[in-house]
Amino acid sequence: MTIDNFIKEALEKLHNNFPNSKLEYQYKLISDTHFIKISPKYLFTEDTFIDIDFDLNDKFRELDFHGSLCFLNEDSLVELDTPSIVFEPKAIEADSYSAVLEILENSFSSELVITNIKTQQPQLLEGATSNELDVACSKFAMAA
Amino acid sequence: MSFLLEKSKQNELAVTFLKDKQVNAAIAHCGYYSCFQKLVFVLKEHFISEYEAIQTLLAQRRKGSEHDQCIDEFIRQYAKLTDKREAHHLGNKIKDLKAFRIEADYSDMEVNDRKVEQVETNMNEFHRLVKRNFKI
Repeated sequence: MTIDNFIKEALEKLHNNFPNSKLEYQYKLISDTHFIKISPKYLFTEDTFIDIDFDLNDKFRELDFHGSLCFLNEDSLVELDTPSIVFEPKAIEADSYSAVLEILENSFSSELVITNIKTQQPQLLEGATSNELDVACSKFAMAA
Repeated sequence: MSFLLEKSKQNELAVTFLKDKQVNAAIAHCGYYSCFQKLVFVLKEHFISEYEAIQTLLAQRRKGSEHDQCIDEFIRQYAKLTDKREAHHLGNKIKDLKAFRIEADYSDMEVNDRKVEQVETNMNEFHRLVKRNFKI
């Protein structure tokens, strides 16, 4: 397996487990390190994420790749200036206005969902009035 | 006291000294080495066969980074000793600090006060957890 394939599989695995996350990948030659940054940062301490971190690091070593694999979040020292791969959060899929509200209310990732609402408005809230959308956003903002 | 531990302590003290003097450029360097020297000491004292295996492997390959190998082994052993959550937390902090140290030393970037605080936080967290688990 090549390092490119390994990284691709790693990102897909993470994205499948955390569809609402944003993932960024960058290799930095200066430190010979493959960085994967996950946002929002609360995901960094999820048990599933920790298990994936260990699995990927074990595999990284077994495959004898050069350098190091390092996971970052928004509080990390290293910053990714030019990520070569970015996985954006997946769009929320819901078939009714009440389902959207339920997703919003059950979501931990307030900032992300609000962003999604704004960018995905026509698909997400098809049939909802602008007033209903305002209510949903303000309700969620208050909860967040 | 072991010379490695003594050097680790001196680098830790150097971070405080340099921060007081606002000599930011060298802080990441001292912060990282303070952790790495203690990490190597732990491997040499508590995980002797694993440490020797790293040396043998590197000698056979004649390539690879001793730092990466030691950090990975330390994290693996730490997870067995405590739990995966704490090892994940500590492992990514030390890897982040290692990579940042290189950028701070060699790349055209500013080491600002916010970064200095983060370096100190990572370093202190490392020493706190190692002290708790290895009594050093």
